[in-house]
Order: sequence, then C-alpha cells, then structure tokens
Amino acid sequence: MSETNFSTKSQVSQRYVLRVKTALNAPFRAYFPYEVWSLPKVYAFRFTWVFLLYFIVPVDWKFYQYLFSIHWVHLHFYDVLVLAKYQPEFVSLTRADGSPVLGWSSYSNWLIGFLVAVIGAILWSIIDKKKRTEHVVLYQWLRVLVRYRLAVALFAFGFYKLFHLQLPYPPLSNLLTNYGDFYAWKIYFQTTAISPAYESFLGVVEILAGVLLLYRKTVVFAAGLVIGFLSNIAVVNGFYEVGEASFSALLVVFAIFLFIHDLPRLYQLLIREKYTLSNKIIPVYSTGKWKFIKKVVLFLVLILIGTLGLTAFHDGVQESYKLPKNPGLSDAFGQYDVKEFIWNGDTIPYSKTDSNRWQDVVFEKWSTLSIKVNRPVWIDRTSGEKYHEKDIDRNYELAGQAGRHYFYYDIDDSNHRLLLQNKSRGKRNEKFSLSFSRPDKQTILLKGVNEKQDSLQVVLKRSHKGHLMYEGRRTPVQL
Amino acid sequence: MANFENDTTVVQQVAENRYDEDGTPHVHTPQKGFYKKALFRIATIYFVLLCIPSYYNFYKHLFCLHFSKLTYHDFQSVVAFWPPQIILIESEEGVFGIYNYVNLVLLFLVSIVLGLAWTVLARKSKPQTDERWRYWVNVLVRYRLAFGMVGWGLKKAFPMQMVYPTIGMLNTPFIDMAEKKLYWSHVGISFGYTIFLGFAEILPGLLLLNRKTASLGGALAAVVCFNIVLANHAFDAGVAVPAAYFTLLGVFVASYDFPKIWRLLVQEKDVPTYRYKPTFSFAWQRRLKVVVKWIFIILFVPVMAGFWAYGFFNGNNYNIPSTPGVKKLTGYYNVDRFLLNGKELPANPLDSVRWQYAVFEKWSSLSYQTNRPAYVDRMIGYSPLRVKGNKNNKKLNQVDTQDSDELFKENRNRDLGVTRWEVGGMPGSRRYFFYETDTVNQILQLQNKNKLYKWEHQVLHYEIPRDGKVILSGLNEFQDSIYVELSRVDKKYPLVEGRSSLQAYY
Repeated sequence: MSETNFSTKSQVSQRYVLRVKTALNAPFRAYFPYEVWSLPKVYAFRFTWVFLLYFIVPVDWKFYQYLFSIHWVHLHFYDVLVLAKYQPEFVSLTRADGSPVLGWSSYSNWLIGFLVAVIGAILWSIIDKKKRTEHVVLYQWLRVLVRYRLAVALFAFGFYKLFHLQLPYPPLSNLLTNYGDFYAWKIYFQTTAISPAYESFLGVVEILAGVLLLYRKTVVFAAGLVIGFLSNIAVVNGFYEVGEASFSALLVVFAIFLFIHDLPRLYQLLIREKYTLSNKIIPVYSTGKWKFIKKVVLFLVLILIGTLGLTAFHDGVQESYKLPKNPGLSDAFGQYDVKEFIWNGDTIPYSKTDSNRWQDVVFEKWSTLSIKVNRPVWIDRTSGEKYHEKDIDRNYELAGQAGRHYFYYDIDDSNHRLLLQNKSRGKRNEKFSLSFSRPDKQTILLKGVNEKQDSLQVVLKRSHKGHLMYEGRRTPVQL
Repeated sequence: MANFENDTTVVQQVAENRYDEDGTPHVHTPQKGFYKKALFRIATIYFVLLCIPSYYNFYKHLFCLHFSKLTYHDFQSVVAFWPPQIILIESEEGVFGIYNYVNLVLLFLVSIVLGLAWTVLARKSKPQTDERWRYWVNVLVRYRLAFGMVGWGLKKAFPMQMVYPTIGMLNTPFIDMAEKKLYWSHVGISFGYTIFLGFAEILPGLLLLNRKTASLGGALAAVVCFNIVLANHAFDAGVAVPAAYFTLLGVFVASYDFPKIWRLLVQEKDVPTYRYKPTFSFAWQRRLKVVVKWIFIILFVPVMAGFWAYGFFNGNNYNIPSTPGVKKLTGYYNVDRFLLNGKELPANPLDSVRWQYAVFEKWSSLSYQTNRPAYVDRMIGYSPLRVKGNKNNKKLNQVDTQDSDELFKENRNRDLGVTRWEVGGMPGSRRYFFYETDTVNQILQLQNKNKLYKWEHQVLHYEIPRDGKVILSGLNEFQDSIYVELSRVDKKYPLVEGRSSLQAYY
C-alpha cells in the first residue's frame, strides 16, 4: 500500500466524518454557540455516553447470531422479545442448567460496561485536542437513542403482559401444589396471573410509558412512570429471585438519565420557587434530508411496535407458548382421586408416605398429566420462559415447583393407550405406556407397566371438591 | 444539559417583572367567571367534606381512648378513616365493593348544590378569598393524606399486614386460599419487599408534609394508591374504595402545581415565580400555626411509628399469635396411626374424622386436615370478607371479631381474637386449634380458632416417646376418645430454601 493511497483514503474518511457531523449538528444549528459546560460535566457526559451506548448498540455477537437464526416467515413473539430485551452478555446470565444467574453477579456485565466507559472517557479526553467545552449536540442525540431503546423494551414487555404471555393463568396442576413447594418467583408470577385483567393493566402501564416516550415533550412523564413502575419490578426481581434483575434495573437507569434532563428545572420551580426557564433547545428537522430520515425512523419504529403487538396478540390468542398446545385426553380435564392402586398385584391403600402410591392425579386441558406421590421431585430451576416447538419441552408448568411429577403423553386412540414420558429434563428416559378405559365420565382406569417394569392398575375418580379460590368470594361457603 | 436556571441575572430581571413573553402580567390569578368560580367552589367543598370524618364510630373511638393503653390500632383508626358513607350497598366485593363508589358520587352532588349556593351568595367576594381557600384546603388535604399514607405504610414497614406463611400454609394447596390471602401472602413471603412497599407509602406521606415537595408526594401517593385500588378489585381484598379516596386526594394535591409543570415541560414556556402564602398579622397566629403543625406531625409520624414498632417487637402483631407453643412439638407430621374410640381408622383422604396430617406451629396452634367441610372463617388480616346480601348475619360476617386489641388491653389472651391469619381464608376442612399447655401433666387444652366453631374444645395428652414422634390421646371436639401417633417430617421447602439453593430434589 503506497503512502499517497493511504492519505487519500484518510481524506475520504475525514470528509465523511465531517459530513456526518454537519448532518448531526443541523437540527440544533439555531442554538449555536452552545452554553459552556463545567469540566466535571464534560467528563461525566463522556462516561455516560460510552456507558449507555455499550448497552444500546448491539456489541454482543450473540445478538446477530439470534437475529439471523429467526424464521421470519414463522415469526414468534418470543423472537422479537429476545431482541427487544437485548443487553450485552459477555458474562453469561444463564447457568449451565438453564437457570438465570441471581443476585449481584447478574450485574457483572455492568462492571464491564463501567470499565469500558471509564477507559473510553479517558481516551476521549486525551484525544480531544480541541478541548471541547460542551457536548450539547451529542447529548441531544443520546437522549433520542435512549428514548427509542427504552420505548422498544417497554412495548415488548407491555404486550408480553397485555396478552397474558408473560404470566399465563396457572395450570390446574400448579394450583393444586402446596404453597411451600414453589420458589418465590413462581408464587409471585402465579399470584399475579390469577387476575388476568390486572396483568393486562400492568401491561397497559408499560405501553403507555412507551407511547409517552415517542413524543419529546412528554418524555419526562414517561421517565417518571418508568422509574416508579420498573424500580418496583427491579426490586421484585431482587427479592423474589425472578432472574431479570439487571435488565429491569437497566431500564430504570435509562429512565433516570432521561429524567435528569428536567430535574434542575423542576427543582427551580417547586423547591426554590423562583422564575423557571423552560427548555430552549428544540430540534428543527427542516432540511429535506432530515424530514425524510425522521419519517423513515418513525415508520420503522411503528413497524417494530406493530410486529410486537401483532405477534403477541397472535400468540396470546392462538397458543400461550409457555404452556403446551396439543389437546389432552378429551373431557378428562380435572383433578382425580386415586381410589384404587394395585402395585405388582398388591393393593396399596391411601398413603401419604408410600413412595409408589399415587395420591392424586391431574389431567390438564393439554397433553400433560401430573401425579402427586411421595417421591422426591427434581426441581426445574429455569424460568420456563423460552419458546419450544414441542410440548414435552414446554416446561413453564414444572419450572420452580417441587410438588408434583409431570408427564407428557401421546394418545394412541386405536389401542386406547397413553404413551407417557416424564417432562423433567433429567428424567426423560422415564417412558412407559398405560392402557386406559373410561367406564363413565367420572372414572378413568389405567393399566400397564411402568418404566421400572412394575405392573400398575389404577382407578381414578374425578374429584368434585370445591376450592376457596373460586368459591369462597362472598357466599357463606362450607369447604 | 441546559443550565439556564443558573443564569441568575436573566432570571431575576424577568422574575421581578412577572410578565409573560406576550406582555400579559402573569400572576397566579384565581378563577374568573361564574362557571370557573362555581367549579372551584364545588371542588373546595367536596375535598373539605372528604377530609372530615363523618361517621359516629370514629368519634366514639376517639373520645373513649384509654390513654394509658394506647396501641397502634388506635392511631390507625384515626388516620385511616373512611370517606363519608351516605348509603351502603353491599356487592360481590362486600362493603367497599364497586357500588360503594356511589358515596363518592353522592357527596359530589351535595358539593355541587353547596358550591352553587356559595357562588351565588358570595358573588362579590374578592378573588383573593378563593386563593386563600385553595391554599387552606390544600393544607387540609395534604396533611390528611400524609398521615393516612404514613399509617398504611407503617403496617408494612413493620411487617404485620403481610406476614410470612405459617407451616400450615406452606402445606396448603395454592387453590385452597382466598384471593386476598394469596395476594397478601405473595408480598409476605419477602420480608424485604414488604418493607420496601411500606416505604413506597411512607415516602409520599413524608413528601406531602412539606409545601414544596407536596405535589410530588401527591402524585406518588395517587399512583401508589391507584395500583392498590386495582389490586383490591382484582384480588377481592376489600379496601378498593378507601384507596380510591386516597387516590383522589393525591390527584387534588398534585393538581396544585400541575398547571405550572405542564406549562414548563409540555408547553415549554417559562414560568414566573409566584406562590400564594398566607400572611399572618399577629405573632400569636404564627406561633399557633407552628405549634399545631408540629403537634400533628410529631404525633402522627414519629410517635405513631414508635407505637407500631413497639407492637411489632413486643408480641402484638395482629396477624401472628403470641402465645408460644410447646417447642419440641413444632413441625409438620404424618399420621402413622389413628384410633377412634379404640378402633383403628386407615388413612383415607375421604374420611371425615381421621387426620391426614398435622401441624404444630411455633406458637400455640395445632392444625390437621380431615374431610369434614366447615364454614370458612373469613377474617384475613384485621378485616373479614363479609358475606354478601346478609349484613345482619353477624355470625357469618364476623363484624365484631376485630378484638385482639381489646383482649390485649384487658390482659386477656389475644390469640383467640383477630390474630387468626393462619385460619382466615382457608378451607374449614383444615381445623385449627389454639391450645393452652399444662407442661407438668403434658396436657393440651384446645379450642377451635375458627370463630364459627369456637365452642369446640378438645383435651389431649401429649407424649414424646422419642424425638420426632408424638402420641396424642384424649377426647376430641365430639367427645370421642382418640389416639393419634404422629411422626415428624423434616421437610425442605423450595420457598424457604430459595432458588439459589443447589438442592435438586425436594
């Protein structure tokens, strides 16, 4: 490579940088010269700029890996959600068993961001030969970036709740699990989920904040709303070990950054009670180029929000993807008392202590059967939130609980057989088949050999017990 | 970041002139014109009426206080009074259900009449009079709301309203609890989060105490309380309307500064400095103001907090019994054998007498599951879920069972009073008994905790042949002789161990 060639190349790139700079300055030209910032403010801004950009610009290659693995024809809400909740994960936030990293260590990527930002701010200050005294224009653009980044996340989580995808109504098996047999996060999820209308309202709050972020003049209200709403969610994440602590905290950081913009003004107005000047820097996108870019950006944002909303709506109506989708045994949904239990030819009476004797059985609406039996349950420590195509992999119903054993089943209609398989990831080799017969609507007889070659003969009787969650509202009820 | 406010010279100049850019003098002018005046006066009357306790029991309680025996309940019933109740229509959600909003509407109608009368009668009043009214009503509303918020918050800051599940609850299926019980418990499982929520109510309360931060406090209180309104409707928790009332008050306080904030941030116009402050002509007026203000603040913030703290740390938690149980008995038990009048009953979940399992709490409580339905005790955390359409049925509604405080004051055992959190909102087939222990003869005198079956007594002798084994024998509540062999299960609960625990099997 000759030297002349090199210099022309650098001239080209310099010209290019200049053009971008001019373009970025254009909407704020009317306010030049800008006010002078104090030196600490300049340094603080450089740090903030690098720190926030580290979280906003996808620098983690896994983002692109996911992006290019999406089947756009069969787009699922979950795919868009994964992109919308992107944050750099140089230190993985998922453990080997699929459970989320909890506690302060879930903030390790923040530490990296902090170090990058410190180094970045120092290098920037060294390279900066012109000794700039302000970054007004860059600050304005950073605000725009943060606003849109935050809005996308809020729309994603808003739709996630609005259509009950994040917290699906608890399956009957979960409802019939003892309170102490859940992890705290599952109790939190389940309690919120028993009131779908309330869950939708929480989603609407997030969507409302997202809408307010799209308009420059209402940003401060959105930021206030997000600080209140999401700091609560971040605190819940911490105390209930939900596993999204650092992401929800990140959204709060974005909101605080946006709120700080108007804080001195509000302080002046309300606390000092003195004459207060309004914001004077109002971007003017008057040139043809900016008018066009603004339209394109708005169009893209609307497309993205529309995609989030439509896929969430579609998934919410069609299939709540955390729960299995194939229909179970027809008319079998419900709780069953195990009236008779014959094990290798011996009738075992009711027992809460016997490790083979089934205590009760639940048939879900979908092809899941859960059994309560006094045998230790392997606890699925994931959040069961991923999208899985196959029903056996859809593990939300067993995640975070240790009260019941969950089995997936296929129905062999011609032979009247249920082909069962344990849903726990470590126990998938537990496969067996039972023949079923249904002498009447209330009774199911199961017969066969289990995975340990023990013969089984079970009489299930539908239980008609009332439950306080449904019946006890305001009627004098005996339960 | 624009730092215009530091440019003092400009600020000063414009401030002194008190003019808008368009040249009109911008004073915080009171509303002109009949309609605006009328609207203002209607609102004034409405919020004054909202802030005056208007039912007999409030005053009865207030004037019958035993000052030597004050508890946090006395403070709570002062700061958490209800909005005026004109008519009572019970709905699916009980007293404070959806129909109760009619009281807020009726009161508004009354305010319209009074407000119009006022406007007509005082047509020639000076605009400054209205401004003074607005100021003083705002003072009234924000102190009323502030103390209410602090009171509500203290219940959680000293976690009593929402408590950690009992051993019995840990072994009860999710579906067998009333929604309110589920909602309160899901907060109660995290001690830290409960305290956090407490401060989410206390903080707005404290901000409301200062004129300058009152708008922020009002807005925060409105947001927090609005969420409480919806959660109460969603989970049938029974205090939706009082929370809606607090939301209204919060909105009212925030609205004082809202026009200025709107002008500054949304219209992006400068806001001149102007704020009405009352002027006192005499020194005694100023002194009186300071004294009254600080008496209220001290009484309803630090002193009230002190009473909550005292109750919390000295065995007056209104949800948790304070009589200690037999220490060696605490735990969850399987029932190995069960003899009724000498005849052995096999384990059977459909049996109405045989126990399926038994629980001894840390406090004096024995509970066991049978298949014998009973009326549900509806007391969940100091307020019973009243039965619909049957308001005279005192027995079912349990209106007069908020008595733990009375029992406490009379030095009687309070554990049979309101402190039956473990019982309320749970199916009656799980039977809960309070017991008194005779440790010398190893005898438990038991009484059913469910208020609807309080006459049920048992006398059981207990024996601990070896650690983890318990034999109970004696007469049960139906005067049948029973003999029960129990063995303790050293259960591990995922909820207690936590998600970070590496335990793989439970």
